[in-house]
Amino acid sequence: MSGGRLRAVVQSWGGLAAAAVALCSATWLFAEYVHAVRVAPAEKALVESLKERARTDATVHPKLLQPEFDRQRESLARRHAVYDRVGLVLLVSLGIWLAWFRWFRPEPGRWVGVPEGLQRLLEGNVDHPAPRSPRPKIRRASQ
Amino acid sequence: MPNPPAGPPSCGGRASRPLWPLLLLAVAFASSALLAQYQKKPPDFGGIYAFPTPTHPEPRAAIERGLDVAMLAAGLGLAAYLILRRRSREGVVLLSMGAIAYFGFYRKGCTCPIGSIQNVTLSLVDPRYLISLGVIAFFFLPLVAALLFGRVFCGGVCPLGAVQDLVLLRPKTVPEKLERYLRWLPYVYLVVAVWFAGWGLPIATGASKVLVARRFLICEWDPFIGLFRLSGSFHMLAIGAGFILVGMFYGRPYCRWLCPYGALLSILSRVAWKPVSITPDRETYCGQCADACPFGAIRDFSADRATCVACARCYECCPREIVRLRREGIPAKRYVAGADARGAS
Repeated sequence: MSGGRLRAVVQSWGGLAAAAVALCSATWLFAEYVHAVRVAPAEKALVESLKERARTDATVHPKLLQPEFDRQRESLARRHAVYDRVGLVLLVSLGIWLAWFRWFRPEPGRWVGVPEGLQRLLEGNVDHPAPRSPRPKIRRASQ
Repeated sequence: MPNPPAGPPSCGGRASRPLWPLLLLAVAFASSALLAQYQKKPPDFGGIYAFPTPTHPEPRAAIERGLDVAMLAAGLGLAAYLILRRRSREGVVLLSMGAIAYFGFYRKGCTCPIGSIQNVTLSLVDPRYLISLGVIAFFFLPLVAALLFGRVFCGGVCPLGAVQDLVLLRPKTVPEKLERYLRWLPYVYLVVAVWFAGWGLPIATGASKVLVARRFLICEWDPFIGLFRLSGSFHMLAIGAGFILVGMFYGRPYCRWLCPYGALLSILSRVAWKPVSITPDRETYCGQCADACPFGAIRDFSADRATCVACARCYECCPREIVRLRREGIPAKRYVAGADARGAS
């Protein structure tokens, strides 16, 4: 593959790859959040019930409550790590996609390997509303 | 093609007003806020009791706060230069990206002029609440800039506006009637935010009395703070994402229909000394600028002072601007199709 064609392929697909990464990251973050929201009440209730049992049974704390605390703490740390890292990936990939869409998109007719429907979706005027057809000049009465 | 007759001074002409009344107004504003800091001292009952000095520790060292103010002032100056003198959309975009980097991600969106409305309000209402000179400068500098050059703060320096400007990809227009109604929202939000910051919301219904404490609503509901801080509650991130999504199709939704500081700026920019003038020299009445403006801020071939956010998009489409650039040997690359073909004779 020649250098020019390679560049055209990268220019055509770079932004789309960034968009795919952004979409995956957003889905992952959203799934993590929904999972956390769903399990949080059950986990809280479990800890509360274990605390109640630990008041009357001394063996509950070292055998059940402490391991449950540790598990939940690890789970929280993992979730925060996901939020931090995947969030950053989402931000960077969105930035790359935006820059590609605004400035580095291929010109019409220079796309390589991108389906035509997708090309039509991605082509067009950016930043300004679509230009209207030329209209006659309005002449004002001289003042 | 014969040249059309020259329009009134407001249509692309260099409308200007005397500078000194505006400067006087700006100085009056600034001095009133400074005096407000010290006007309400606690009563002196005599004796040996000394009132403790209220302290509100600032998160940053004085030199860094000074740097923030210097960056804001430099940004405003540069924005005015790029928009009014250089007439460069690309320069404005670069400046916007710098504003996002510094005021957004580095300073994490705080202190910002938008939120400073609440600090200034509270300091005027409550003598125990003191604000630093940096906050006062953040509140007044963009207002002074608006008095001089229009909304250059919105155009190039505000990180919130810059984010929305950069994500605007497929601009669509809002029906004019709806737009007219929506433009009142910032004023309503401004009044509500000032009220909550200064007085809270005491409600008495019969025997029961509900007191909502003072709150900084603008900061609590800042849609992009989660983005700049890379964290935040789910609903705030969702609101931010929603604004970005809407902002892809409708230019700057927060700036146009919600920003309370934008409401203040739009009031002051009505009397701006040197506002945006679209055409560099002679008006051609082609209407390209109005077509290119995603904010509907161009009416009768001139920028509406109150709604124009000085984004400089109209320059890119102006046939006369292209002629000017050619004359100065500057390559004109990205212009709306058709503008070049209809270049003025």
